[in-house]
Amino acid sequence: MNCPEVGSLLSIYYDGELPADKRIAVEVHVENCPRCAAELAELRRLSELAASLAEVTQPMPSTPSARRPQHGPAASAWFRAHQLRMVAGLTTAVVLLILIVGLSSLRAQHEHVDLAGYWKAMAVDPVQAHRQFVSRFDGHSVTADAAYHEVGFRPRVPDCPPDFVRVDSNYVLNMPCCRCIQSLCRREDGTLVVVFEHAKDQADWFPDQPQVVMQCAGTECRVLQLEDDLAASWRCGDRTLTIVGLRTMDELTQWVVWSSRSGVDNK
Amino acid sequence: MQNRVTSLPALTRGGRIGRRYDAVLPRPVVTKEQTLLAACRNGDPLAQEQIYESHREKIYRLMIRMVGLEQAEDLTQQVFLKVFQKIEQFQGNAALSTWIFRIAANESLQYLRRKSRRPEFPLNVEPLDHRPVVGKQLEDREVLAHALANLEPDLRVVFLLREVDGLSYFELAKVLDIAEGTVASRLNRARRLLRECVFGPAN
Repeated sequence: MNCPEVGSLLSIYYDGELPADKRIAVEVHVENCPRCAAELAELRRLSELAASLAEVTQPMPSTPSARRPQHGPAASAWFRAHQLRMVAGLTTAVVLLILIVGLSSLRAQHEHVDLAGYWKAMAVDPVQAHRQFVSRFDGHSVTADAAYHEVGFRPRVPDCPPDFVRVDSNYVLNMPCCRCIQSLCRREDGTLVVVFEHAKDQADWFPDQPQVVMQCAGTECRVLQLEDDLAASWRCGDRTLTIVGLRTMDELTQWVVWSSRSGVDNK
Repeated sequence: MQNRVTSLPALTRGGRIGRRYDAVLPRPVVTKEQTLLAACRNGDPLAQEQIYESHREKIYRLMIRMVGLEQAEDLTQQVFLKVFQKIEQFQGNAALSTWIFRIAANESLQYLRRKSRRPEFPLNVEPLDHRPVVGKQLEDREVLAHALANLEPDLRVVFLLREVDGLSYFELAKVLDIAEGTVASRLNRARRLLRECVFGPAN
């Protein structure tokens, strides 16, 4: 082998990923070639430096969240121990998962939900919270196609989502009012929005919360303010859509407009 | 022993295969990892905690070099949020850490794409380091840190996962969803660029 050939293989050789025949050829060449040997030495040096950079790294800080109380010993999942910081997009994700759980008390209390209470309680445990919520309603994840067969209607979000979000996952839930499709949607910036869809008159999911009934893009919507975000509910054809985690009225308008356009012929 | 060796035709004669085969094959081993995963899927918080603890520092360390000190913690939390959200979908046909690295790589690359950092605004990567370091070693390491921060994300991630986390080409291919050949060429390119920064241009 000559220098250019070896040069192109040196990196792979260095990683021990060359097949035996080529490896031996490279070794033989390097033994007798100061230039290639020097290159190899540089690769080693690079590794040393990279390793020392890795050592320098501080351990991950666990900053206590000033605003939320520590959860009790009952909830022992990792969010509790590692105290999620409430910053930016992550806040929204946490809030939404919390709210999903908040809505979970529907089952116990005949459609009355103490969202605020649940929200505080679940502030440090959204992952567990989502799992518990889904299981509390005998829920399971579904694909868009399967959803139709399970709930008897074509849910709009999984089927034909709006172009300003990506649908992460869908779940069928057995809510007190009816079977319902829950879709976890992701905005472009990675934050979550949660949509519930069911083919019934809207159950009052926020009875104790102050809410506003307003016209939005020609549709009557119930809107309420959660700590950092909005939740809203409206009828759309024979469906009710409830969205949790909206940031602005503009965003709500986007959703309402989308829902009024999409699939008039959806059954 | 002789009888069993009589073998394949005998074994496959209709209906007998199950029983005979069982006697010959060892039982599949349920690994610790599979047990842990099953517990985690059932919502066992201790299992979740264990998974988190055993991977947290590695992911954080990767994130510091990928997205910078300021964002590393948030991104790390985001990764694990995804991990636990998706754990039901994880089939266990790859190692758990490979899968977690994959999520981490994707999250960091996505983040960087969204932010579209330009080379003239390198990441603030240097954590406070109070260890005494001798002479040239310090300079070289700093140079590497800055060179890494300026390296295009696709090259940066493969270099870090190889050098710091020791992933093989096979694992890297799975984590980054590219061919092993691509792994090799990206590593080669990353090292060439980094060597130029640290040691000066090649002769």
